Amino acid sequence: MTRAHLALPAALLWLVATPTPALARDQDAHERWVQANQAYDAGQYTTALEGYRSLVTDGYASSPLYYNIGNAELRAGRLGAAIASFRRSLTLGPRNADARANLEAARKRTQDALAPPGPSVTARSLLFWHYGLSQRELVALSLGAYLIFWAALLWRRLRAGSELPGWIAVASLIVLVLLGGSLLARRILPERVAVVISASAAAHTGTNVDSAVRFVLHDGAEVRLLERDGDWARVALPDGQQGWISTAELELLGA
Amino acid sequence: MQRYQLLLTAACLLLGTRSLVAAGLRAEVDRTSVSAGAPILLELIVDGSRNAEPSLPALDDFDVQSRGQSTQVQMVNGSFSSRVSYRYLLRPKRLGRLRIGAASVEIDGRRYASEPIEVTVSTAPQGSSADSDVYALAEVSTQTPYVGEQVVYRLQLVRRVNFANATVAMPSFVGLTSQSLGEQREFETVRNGRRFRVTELRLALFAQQPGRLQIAPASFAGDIPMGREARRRGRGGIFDDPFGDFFGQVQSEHRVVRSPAIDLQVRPLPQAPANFTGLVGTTSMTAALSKPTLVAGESTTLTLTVDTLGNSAELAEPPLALPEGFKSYADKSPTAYDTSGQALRSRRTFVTALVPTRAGTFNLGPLSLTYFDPHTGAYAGTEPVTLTVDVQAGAEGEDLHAVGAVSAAPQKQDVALLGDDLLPVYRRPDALRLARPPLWLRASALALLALPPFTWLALLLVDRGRSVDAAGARRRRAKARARKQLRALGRSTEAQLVPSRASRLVRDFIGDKLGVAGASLTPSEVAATLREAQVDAGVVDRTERLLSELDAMQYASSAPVDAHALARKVGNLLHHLEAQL
Repeated sequence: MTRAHLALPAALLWLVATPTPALARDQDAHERWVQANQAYDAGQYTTALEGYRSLVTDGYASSPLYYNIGNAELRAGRLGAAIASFRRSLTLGPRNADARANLEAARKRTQDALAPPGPSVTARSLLFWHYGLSQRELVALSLGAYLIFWAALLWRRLRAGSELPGWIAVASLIVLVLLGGSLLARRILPERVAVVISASAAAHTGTNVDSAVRFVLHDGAEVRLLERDGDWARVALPDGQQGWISTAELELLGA
Repeated sequence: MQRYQLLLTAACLLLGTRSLVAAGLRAEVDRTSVSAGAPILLELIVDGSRNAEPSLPALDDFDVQSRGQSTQVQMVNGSFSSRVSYRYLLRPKRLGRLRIGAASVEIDGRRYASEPIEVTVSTAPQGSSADSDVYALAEVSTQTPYVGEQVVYRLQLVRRVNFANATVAMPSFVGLTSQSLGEQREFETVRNGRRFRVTELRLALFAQQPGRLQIAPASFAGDIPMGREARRRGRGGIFDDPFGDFFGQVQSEHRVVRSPAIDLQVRPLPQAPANFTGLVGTTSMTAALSKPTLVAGESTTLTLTVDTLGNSAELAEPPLALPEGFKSYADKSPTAYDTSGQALRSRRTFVTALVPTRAGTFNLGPLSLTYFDPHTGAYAGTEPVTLTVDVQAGAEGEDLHAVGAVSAAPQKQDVALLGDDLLPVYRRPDALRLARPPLWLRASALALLALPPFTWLALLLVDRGRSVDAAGARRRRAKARARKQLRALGRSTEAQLVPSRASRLVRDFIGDKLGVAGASLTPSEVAATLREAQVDAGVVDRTERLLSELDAMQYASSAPVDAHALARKVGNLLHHLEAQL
């Protein structure tokens, strides 16, 4: 076995032997997490939210964290903020059934009969990996496909005459293209949604309060975000109607 | 003279008709008390002139926006009068008592001024002050309920102005189940000497857990017409002012009013007796038999009716201690709600078919249910009921089977969702993760990504190097290979093979050195190849002669071969060839 062949196993060994995830080192973050959960259990939802949000400020972002934020927001009576947090939780963990259940529970409490923006059933079925895997999972699988692709090429070079490594390389390349395309799409074409976080939000025809009000949305309404212009955001209803809403009354996702 | 008098009269009339209404300027606002952020509509009304535009006073405490003007001209008893209204929207910049100074206008050379106006800007939330034209109220029947006790929640929108396009956002009753108490009600009330219109919504709430709960504020959103006249239209006052705004457009202000939040301190139920049914609220029960007298084998229907001041949907069927020989078949147990009163009442009906299989007089009961009475704070039981069944003997020899119109199996009913709550939060320590992986992980990933292509590239370069230098490698290996073969030749014991091996050795050596297929060359071709390679002529001749001798030894001679001598000869020749090639 040549030295080049030994490099890959050595790299993998180093990767496995490298220190454990950040939490094992960041004890302060773990303590804040526990304290925030305790505050939640005690009914001190504002205190719990402060704890959870301090973790977000320090760079933590996970599906369970945003799920907990959503729970605390909902308990504190902030329906729109809760829905936005549950959506963030599902973005980070698309298969988080608890987040999906609580999101549906929150949506039942909204006032506006609006279908929340999201992919169609057909799109979800056809692009199951794009909508069913988290960003981390996509990256890990892409890395795996990438390594398999190169391993197959190396195998083909060293054991000429077998067709199997060629097929493996082709298959892994296809998987890599699909997964990589999904990552790219998430980067350049994120799902842009706005959630109303005030009791009511008037959608104007223009970016000033004196322009005519086209429609009014209420706490928790989810609409498509089309564009931003300073302190205003243009949103669209499912039937195509559009209006400008002050960003102070919205929480923007994917913007 | 007559003409002069006519002219004078006409002049007087004209002068007289110039203005019946005294010229003047007045300032009016739609309200003098607002909360922070709410606008005030200022109207400057100029009487007696259509052209004079008033000068605004200093309004440093406000952001001013013009809302246009409107003109009214009226003819009364043949005289014309005009009025021009200039509207401005003022948004207070600060809290406290603010002053709208006197505006002024010049009409026919005379200056007129309006009275200054004081307004108060406070921080009180919109809709909460009793002095407001519209506000929301919320109250509950008790703020210290027991778990499961009915709490009647009343939400009211109180207004004395038009509140168009009104919508309501109900609070999220976290920790509580809710049930509507009928349709919304509309009525009028008088508060602080003023008449208000009230829209009321009522709900029955049931706390699911002890502890502190908060009912978040509900909110009403709607549009309030701006301007005194337009706002008064809600009370039918359009004829109050002869100079009503017949042509002006009604501006409206979008307003949101919120009810106050309500805190509940939910008390846990005391230690419950073993037979507690779970009912919280005053309860009564009645029992009846469809046929108190029947023949063995016939069926009679036992109906238990449970009335509760609360929700009894969760009540399980009371256990029946039946006498021996009685078969029972439970039927449906519907729940009916009465929301017509001040609170929710529910009636649960349990229907059971009973089939006695032997004659006799039997007592069913005493039947009673244990419930929790929140008024007394203690558990209580419904008045016990005992029913008597008189069963006559059936015909002899007749098998007693439970026949008849009896449901063999209980009728299934949909599972009613009694309550709903959020799934609990996550607590596991590994739930936290950094949004961006640490630097070492990213560096490792980059190294991992770069390694395979570099490895593949390195292999590619090595293979190419080998193929380019194949001829050189062959040439470098020729001497070592020939030496090895020469040693073997010298030790060979198969004499008849020595010439062919020696010939092959020489040819291969020359082929490796010159990059040709030496094994297939004849002696003359080998000589020609050597001459092309500019080998010394003597060496070429020796090579050709040796190869010819070796060929002769292989194919023509039968003389014994001295392998050792031949090897020495071949070695000597190779030495000279090595020096030349």
